[in-house]
Amino acid sequence: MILRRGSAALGALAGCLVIIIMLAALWLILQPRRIANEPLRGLPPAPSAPRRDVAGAPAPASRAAVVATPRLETTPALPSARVFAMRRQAPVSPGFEGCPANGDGGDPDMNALKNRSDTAAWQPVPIDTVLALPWPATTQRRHRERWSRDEMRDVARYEGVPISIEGYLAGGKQSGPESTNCHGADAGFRDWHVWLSPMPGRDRSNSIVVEPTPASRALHPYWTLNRIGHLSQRGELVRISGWLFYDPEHPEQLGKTRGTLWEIHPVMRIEVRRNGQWVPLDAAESGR
Amino acid sequence: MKKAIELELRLWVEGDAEPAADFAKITTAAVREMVRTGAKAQQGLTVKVKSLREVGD
Repeated sequence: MILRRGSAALGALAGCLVIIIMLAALWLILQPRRIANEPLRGLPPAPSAPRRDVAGAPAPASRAAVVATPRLETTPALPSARVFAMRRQAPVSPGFEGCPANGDGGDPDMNALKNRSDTAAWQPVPIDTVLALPWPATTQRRHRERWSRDEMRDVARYEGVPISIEGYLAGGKQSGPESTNCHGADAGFRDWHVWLSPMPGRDRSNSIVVEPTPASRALHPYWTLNRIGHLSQRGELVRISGWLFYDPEHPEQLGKTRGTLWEIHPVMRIEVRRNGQWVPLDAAESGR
Repeated sequence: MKKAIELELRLWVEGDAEPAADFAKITTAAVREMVRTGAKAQQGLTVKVKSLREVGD
């Protein structure tokens, strides 16, 4: 009787041990996934639609590279949740040289955002926060007029915030003619594609596309592609300020020439770090 | 023997238009028309535009 009770107790103990070991194993297996899915500290919870599961989205390795980057921010960043919860400013897009804010076709709502020229108090946001922002994958390659209310809400959660990001330039080029700029063929009517990266160098796979527009460049005669090229080559720390914007048109470039579909567009301010101070690119270059 | 081929063509089309005129619409219609009328001059060949879209950056 005692023996039978003893063996029953031992059996129950062994059963408990097996369950504990299985639970521990399960916890260990699930732990990395739980961390990967956790929203960044200070960020609002991610919207419910599928987002970074798109083909070409940054591989975990590139995320790891971002995490390993030494902190760049020389200006203390506000908690991101506060930045993204900011009341949005209505875009002012007066048009440029006869080209209306909506451009000449394409996605007129998107064009009006790309063509905005208002300024604001730019809020410092770490580059890895912007690289980690989600978006609804269902909006990719679709005009805004066809987005659902949920899709618009998910994008509006982040879009239209005046931000500034520190990083390193990974080159720049003149874009082709596009509806945003009324398909203007001359250089003065083309956007620039500039790549901002968390690390110095030419790798754009984990970069943010930041675009000085014809209207924003008209106010900054010292912004030239040559100077952008020099800043890239020298690996100088820069601070780019402008409007956070979601561009759904080129998901095929993810992991190749961009790390996210979020952009700074338009770029309203470019600064370089000189003698421990942020100096506008215009002043830094005109003083040489 | 009956043969077929799919060709990809990249065009640069330039011209004058009012700033707000939908240049993508104007030029895609013009290129379709060029192919349609040009194809008539090629005896023994049938040419169809299967896709035509603006290239973006």
